[in-house]
Amino acid sequence: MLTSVLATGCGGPQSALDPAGPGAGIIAWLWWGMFAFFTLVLILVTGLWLYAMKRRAPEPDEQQATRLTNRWIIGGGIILPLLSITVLLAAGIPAGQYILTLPDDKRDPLRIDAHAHRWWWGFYYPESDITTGNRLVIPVDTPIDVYGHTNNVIHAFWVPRLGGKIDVVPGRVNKIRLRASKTGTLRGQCAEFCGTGHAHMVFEVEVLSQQAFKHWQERQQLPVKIQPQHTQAAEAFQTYCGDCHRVRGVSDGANGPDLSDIAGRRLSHMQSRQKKPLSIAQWLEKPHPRFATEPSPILAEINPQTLERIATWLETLEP
Amino acid sequence: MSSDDPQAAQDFHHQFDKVWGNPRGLLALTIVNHTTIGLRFMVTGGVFFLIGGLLAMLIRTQLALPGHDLLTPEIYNQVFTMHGTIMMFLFAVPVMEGFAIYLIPKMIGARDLVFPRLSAFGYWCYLLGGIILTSSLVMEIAPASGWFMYTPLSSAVYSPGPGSDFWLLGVTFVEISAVSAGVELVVSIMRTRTRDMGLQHMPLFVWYILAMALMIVFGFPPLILGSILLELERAAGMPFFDVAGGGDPILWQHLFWLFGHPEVYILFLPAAGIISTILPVFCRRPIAGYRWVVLAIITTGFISFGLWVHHMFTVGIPHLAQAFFSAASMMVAIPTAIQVFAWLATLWNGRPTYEPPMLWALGFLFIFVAGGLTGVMLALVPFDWQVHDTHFVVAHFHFVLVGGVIFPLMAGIYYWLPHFSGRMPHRSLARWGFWLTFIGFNATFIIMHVTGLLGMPRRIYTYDADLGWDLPNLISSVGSFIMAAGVAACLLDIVLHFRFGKSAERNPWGADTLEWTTSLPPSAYNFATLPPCPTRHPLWDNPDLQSTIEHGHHDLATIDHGRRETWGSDPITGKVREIIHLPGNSWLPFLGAVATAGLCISLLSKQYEFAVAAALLSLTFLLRWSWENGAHPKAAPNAEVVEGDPPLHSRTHDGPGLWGMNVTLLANGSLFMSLLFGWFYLWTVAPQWQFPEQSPLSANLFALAGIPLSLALLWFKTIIKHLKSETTKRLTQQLWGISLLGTIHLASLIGLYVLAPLNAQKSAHDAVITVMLLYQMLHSGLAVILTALQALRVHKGYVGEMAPYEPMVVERWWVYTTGVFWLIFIAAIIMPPIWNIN
Repeated sequence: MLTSVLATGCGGPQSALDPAGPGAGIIAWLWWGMFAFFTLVLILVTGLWLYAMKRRAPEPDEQQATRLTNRWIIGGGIILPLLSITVLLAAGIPAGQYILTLPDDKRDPLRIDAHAHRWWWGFYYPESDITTGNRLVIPVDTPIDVYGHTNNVIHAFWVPRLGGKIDVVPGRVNKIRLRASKTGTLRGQCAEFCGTGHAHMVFEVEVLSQQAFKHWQERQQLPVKIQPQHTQAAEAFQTYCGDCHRVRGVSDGANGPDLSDIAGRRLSHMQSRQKKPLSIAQWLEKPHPRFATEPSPILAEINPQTLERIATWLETLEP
Repeated sequence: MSSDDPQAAQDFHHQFDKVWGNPRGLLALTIVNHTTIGLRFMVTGGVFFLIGGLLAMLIRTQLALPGHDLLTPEIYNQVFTMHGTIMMFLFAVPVMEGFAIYLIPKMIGARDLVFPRLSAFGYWCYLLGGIILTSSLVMEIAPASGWFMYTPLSSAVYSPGPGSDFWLLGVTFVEISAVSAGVELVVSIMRTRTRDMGLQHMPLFVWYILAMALMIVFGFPPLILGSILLELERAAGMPFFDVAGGGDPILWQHLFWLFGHPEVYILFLPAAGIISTILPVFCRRPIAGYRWVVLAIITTGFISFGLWVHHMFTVGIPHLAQAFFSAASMMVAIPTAIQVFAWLATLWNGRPTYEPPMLWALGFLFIFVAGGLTGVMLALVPFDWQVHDTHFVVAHFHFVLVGGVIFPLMAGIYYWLPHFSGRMPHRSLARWGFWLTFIGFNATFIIMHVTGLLGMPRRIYTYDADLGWDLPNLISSVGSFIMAAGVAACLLDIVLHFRFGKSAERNPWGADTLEWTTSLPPSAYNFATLPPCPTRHPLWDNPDLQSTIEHGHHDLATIDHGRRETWGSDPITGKVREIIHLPGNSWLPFLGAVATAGLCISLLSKQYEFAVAAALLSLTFLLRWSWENGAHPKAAPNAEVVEGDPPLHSRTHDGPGLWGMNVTLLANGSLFMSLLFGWFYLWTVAPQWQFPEQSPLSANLFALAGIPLSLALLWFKTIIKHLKSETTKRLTQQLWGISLLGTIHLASLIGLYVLAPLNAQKSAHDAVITVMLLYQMLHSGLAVILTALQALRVHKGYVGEMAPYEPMVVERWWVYTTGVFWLIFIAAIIMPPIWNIN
């Protein structure tokens, strides 16, 4: 059973065993090492027990029994765990130290502030003054410092293919250093239970080449392109939605996710039953019940035609 | 009374049964006997296990397919929260306590636990608390913040309904029961072993339970305190965990895991005790390395209090501390490995046989060792950063808890089944039950490690299809249903055996310990006479023991005085010191628990007037209970004993009550230390903690209030000295005088509190001070009441030079109360201006 699953691979967009950066890579190695060693220990101990149950040797006298007991207890009960612990700590403490600092990279890390809301992630790039919602874009081979902020409950920031997680705690700012070693799309998810929307607190991580990242940053400074047929929709958006949502060059709301690149974002909570994502129009018509509380009062005020226009326009906002 | 004729044994039994027997009908609510109470704990725990298991089935059904929407997230969150809460608080701990309550007196050669009414009270608290907690599920308003209730998610802002209150109040109520069982077990083990059973002769199971009980005494109070603080925050707005008010949500995590980690060993130790009891019996030789195992038990107990931070490696704890707690967490592998290899050596040296209990023991070994090894992995900090809060952790703790608790428990149930029922289990159904459970368990949880490594966080009610989690989740769900079938088979076997099992002969497994000398099922008094036990293997050394006990050849053979008696003995050597006379059946524990349940419900429904009334009612029942002691007509008005026997404990200076008070104060002290920890933690760590410009309490006035308290203590101490040397004069008046001093102290304390400019809703500083003052007032008030009652009892003739025992117990309370007062003075009033960093 185990092997059948292993055969299907350790892959997956959120698999800790398919590392895309040195932090996760080291942890994956630690795992495989411990897995191999501890499997041996488990087989050894269980095997010894089964053998001891089966074995029909003459009963030992008191002295033999005591000698044997002490041998088992000192060998298996003290030396074996002590040795294992020593080896583990000798590997684990330097590994932890390395992961925390990634010292082989002398460049200054890129700072990103992750704001955990209920239930979505906002990312802010202080150096370039960029904001994104549920979407973290980072350059490859560059150390990144993610600072976690929240003003509500405890969350945890976690991109398994890059490294471990860090809790995002009200009143504190915790930091985690990460680095990606290949380009591509990864998945991150809130790991600390934060209420009804916890399962949907997913974000996309896009690792770009350094060149592409620069371009992306530059593009983020420009207003979104609005094709002429959508100008009306954009105005309506500004009126009804702009207080909460930001779309570059259109509105500056900060209570909900930035929608400047909504079309490119894979919104997992839109597709609970259907395999393919709902269109934005479908979503607005029947919002996911978990998220209905916030947008619905406004939605009722917009006439259906306008709403559909807004949705169609949003579909064009490619990153 | 020492004829060997069977008729004589029958007559003997009838006489004992008149004093010890259990009433039927409604009067069954008054039973205090440990055999009955122990069975009630186990059966009730079994019912909660089935409820918790059904919730687990719901979880696995929901997660079987991606995007499954059988449960809404609101309901799913309630279901997994209650699954954890029920399994930990309403199943595992109470069932283990039930085992201990049932077995301990029988193993140490006593007729009952030392505080039988406390066992009954504990059971009713557990039952009523469990019903209150579970009822929330039926009303769909169950707690939904996870079984460790992290705040701020569980706070009034983010969990506005009554769910969190159900958890905080219900669990605290149930924990009263755990702590009272803990106190009672410690004192019973230390003070009521039969003649000559020294510490070195105690069966290993008793050592395990002693460690478990002590760990309950120290480990549960931090959570009780945490729950009280969180409930105060929710109900009264005191910001202990709210950053804006100077609190810190991480304090909750510390308090919770200060309890939570020892809790794991509180569950594992008795389970390991069952294994250490069963293996030698089926190997026909003593456990290998008795001393090693005892050492391992004690070490586990100590280390387990130094590991709690390993649940918090991702909250941003300093890295040096992480390394320390990582190493400490791994160290616990050593005492565990010692036990595993002692069991191995026992098997190696002996001639083991495969009976049903042994099958479960083997299943335990495989699963528990695997779970222990993943535990060592998790203690490695970088690995924990990755898999913390994923299904890997869920798999790990199910390996440890199901493997380390349920499998040994099943081994124990099968082993002691003939003891409970007098009948033997059915072998082939038992085997089916075992293999289905074992296979189902492994299918569910081995694969779940992979699910976690593939990145699936815990506590999500659904997941997308394209993440590689579908197959492993489906396998887990199928496995869980196989496991459920196994549990059903075991249940069927156990139920059927009561009707169809063939009757057990005495000592059917050929065991070595005293519990197998009772009749099967046992009588309420266990042993007609109490045998000496200067050995670890009384039944192997003397197979005739059963008959000599029944025929009255041993101690405490008289019953015509109508008292329930058992030996009080030296804690180390087991030399007999006094006769302990135990109370009989009583309504008071039941009524006390019902009144406490009333308190719990009125707090839940925020009817605070009713809460005050219920609290007073409950206090009244408890005080009435304490009234019927000593030389009271319902206890032991007449102190005559058989010539040559030692005196009754109420006529001595240090009976079990003194031990009971001391152990209770250890638990109480653990609670107070947690409060001090909270104070210093918030002071040094909370991000927005602030001291007021000027302390709301004047140091001089506070110290002044302590003077009558300290004088009262000194006065009490001189009374004790005179009582011991039998030179007391005017005892009643003196006790009234002490009460008066206490009252003056209490009044000045209340005045100080009322006049102090405390704003407990604005600042965590004032909130903590408020709790400290209330804690102090509660203790001072109880000291006054207890002393006044002593004065009345001296006046009535229940206490005095002939029965000097109770004042010694009350004196402990004064010592504690005074100590706490001056500690508060130092920590809250003297230290801040000296170290004030503001």
